[in-house]
Amino acid sequence: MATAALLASIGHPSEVYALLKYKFTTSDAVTKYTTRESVTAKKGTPEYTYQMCYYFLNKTSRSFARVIQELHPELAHPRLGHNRRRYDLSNDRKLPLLRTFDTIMYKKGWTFNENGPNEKDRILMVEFDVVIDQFLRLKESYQTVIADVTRRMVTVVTIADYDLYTHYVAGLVGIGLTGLFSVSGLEDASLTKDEYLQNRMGLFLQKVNIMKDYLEDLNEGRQFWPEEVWSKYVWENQGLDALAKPENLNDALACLNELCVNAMELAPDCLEYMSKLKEPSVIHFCAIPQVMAIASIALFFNNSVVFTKGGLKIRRGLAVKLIYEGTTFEGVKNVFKRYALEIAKQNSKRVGTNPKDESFMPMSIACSKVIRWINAHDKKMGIVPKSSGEQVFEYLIVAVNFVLLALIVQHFYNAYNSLN
Amino acid sequence: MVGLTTPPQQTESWIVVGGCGFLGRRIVEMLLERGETNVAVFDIRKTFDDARVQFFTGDISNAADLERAFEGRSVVVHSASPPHGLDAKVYFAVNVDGTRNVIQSCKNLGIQKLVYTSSASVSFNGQSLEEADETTPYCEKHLDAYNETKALAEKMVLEANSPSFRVACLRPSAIFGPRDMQCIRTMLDVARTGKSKVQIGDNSVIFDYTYVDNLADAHIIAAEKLNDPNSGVAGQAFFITNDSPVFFWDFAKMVFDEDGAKNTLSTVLPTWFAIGLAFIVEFFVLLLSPIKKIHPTLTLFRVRIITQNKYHNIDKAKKLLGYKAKVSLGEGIKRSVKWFKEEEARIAAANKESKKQQ
Repeated sequence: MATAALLASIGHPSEVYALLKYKFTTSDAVTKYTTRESVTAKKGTPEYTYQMCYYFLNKTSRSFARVIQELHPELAHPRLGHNRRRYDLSNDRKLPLLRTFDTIMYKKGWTFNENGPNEKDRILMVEFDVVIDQFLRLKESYQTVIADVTRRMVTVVTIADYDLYTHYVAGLVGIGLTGLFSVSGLEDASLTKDEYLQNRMGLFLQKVNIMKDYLEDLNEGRQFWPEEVWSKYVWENQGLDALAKPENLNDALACLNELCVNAMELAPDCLEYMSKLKEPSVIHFCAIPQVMAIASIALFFNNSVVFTKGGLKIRRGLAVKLIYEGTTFEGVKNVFKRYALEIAKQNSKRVGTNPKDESFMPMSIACSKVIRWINAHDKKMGIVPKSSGEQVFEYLIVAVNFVLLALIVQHFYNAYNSLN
Repeated sequence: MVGLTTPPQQTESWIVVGGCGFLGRRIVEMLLERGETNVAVFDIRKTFDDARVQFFTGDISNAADLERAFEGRSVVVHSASPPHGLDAKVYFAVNVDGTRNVIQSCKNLGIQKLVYTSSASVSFNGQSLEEADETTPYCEKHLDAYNETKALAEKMVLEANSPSFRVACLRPSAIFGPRDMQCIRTMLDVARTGKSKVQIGDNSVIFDYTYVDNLADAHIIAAEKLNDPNSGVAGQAFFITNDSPVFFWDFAKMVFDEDGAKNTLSTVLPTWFAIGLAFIVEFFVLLLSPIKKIHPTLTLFRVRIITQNKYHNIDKAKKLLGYKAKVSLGEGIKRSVKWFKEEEARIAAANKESKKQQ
């Protein structure tokens, strides 16, 4: 762990504690397959495919690997077959490939060599046969779920604008994972019925990512911010890149804040979904990205760095602290509550600073919806809030009463004494 | 404009009791906006003029006055109610006796539909309310005569419901809008006297507000739904809000901001501190009461009200009335403050003009 992470958290003792705890308590066999050399098993053996899949996962998505190892062993393994990323190929080549991806999954020995040499995912595609091996080794029920989702992701690509690709994909990942949770028997089968909530889980994460990557995507010629929103903040003949210009900062922030509201509106549904989970490892698995996402909204909201420097990330110490808090649903709920109030606070502090910005009231409403969801949930569960205004109120009246009474008694006592 | 989405029913003859008031006038205007041609007003005073409207001036406690105005009407909207802070006698006279007269006059003349403006406070006596719906009972003990008489009147109206006399009661929470002399006016006065700096509590308390156009719209659609005996609306009470509960202080914050006040609510008093302070204030007010009557701004009751959640679930209105708040909270605040500013500019210009003429 970098000393830099510790230094960044120096003003936040709870994060320093979390960082140290993380450092000394985490020992994961799975995260050790981060380099090609660490894969020690002999080629062709089941152990080799397993190690190689974790190696690919670490290579293509480090954070995902960390999240997956939180899963129950029953699930962690199948999840490996479910990797997915944007491939920087030309569309002509990519679309037909993606369209048939669900059948490729069953083709033993299939590989793909046409990625550019600098692409992060190249190695995965070149040795994709290993992933297929692993996929075919999974229980048949897992295979079905994965193939189904792979097929649907691809269907979306052909109909929808390519811009929307990642947007839909994230929702489908939520749906696919829910399918895995329930066929594994760890969660109720009823969980799969509500695709609406599963989709919203994915959308929440993806929308936060899309906000974060504004500059990076722009530099690489990609655009994921919805035109319907940004077109309101640029001149008619301008593109999304206009928001990166310093003279348009007010418009850019107004646009960003509107996207923050749009993402925040998903939060109650994410809480609803997570409240239905039972297996602790599944809760933790789902909760980690969610708590990171809501903390990220608090970081991005009205933050000009999104347009000037990019690469905004929550402090590593905070991330680790959130990972620990996300172990139980109660913890997740507290994180959501804290950030809903925190964002609402930032929101009201900046009122009147940006004439272009119309997001104040919508953001306030969106944050209060999170609090309302929690109030309703607590009521249903019979949880009485620890210090409601009412309780404090009655307690204090009694206390103040006593103080005043004491003062009066003392006054009369003194008066009585002076009489004698 | 709100209200235009439903086609006018020009066969209907409307009368709005209290049609010169803040809400009643908006109902009248919105009926006219959507092309209604048969609209009348009954009020104790005439506050505006419109050639398309027939005005009746009279006393709601006088049944003869009412019957003269109700003659030939097919639907009555009763939204007359005195403002907060008056003597209990006034509330009993207008809300209870007056509403009884309205019901009786309708029955005497064979009018089949009545929509009554009740209040969300019929089931509020200072407790916290979260997602309160219509299953929340009436208060056993009411906070004040206003709430008590609104509840008595609502019960009378609902009990009068029958197949030949169909009624609906609407219970708005914190109405605001142009011409509103309570919510927005008070906040603007607070802002302009420099009292907009102090916030009590961490702003986690959630409240419900209702923009006047949305409420007026709800009255019109409720009256329409009463035509359909199978709509399930007759004999029912409905909470009506903007369907967007929001942090208590954020509403005020936006009103202040629209009015141009800067750095508002910058001093945050913790709830416990405000309670302690209010207690001490009240203690001294009580001590001084034989010598001097003081009405402090900071009272225990007020602190208690603004440090507790009060918001509603309006699914029933959405489902049975098909109600939807068409004007958002933010848009409603903008329109309200803009109206007050324009009105003040008009008055200022008129004063200048009259001075010139002198």
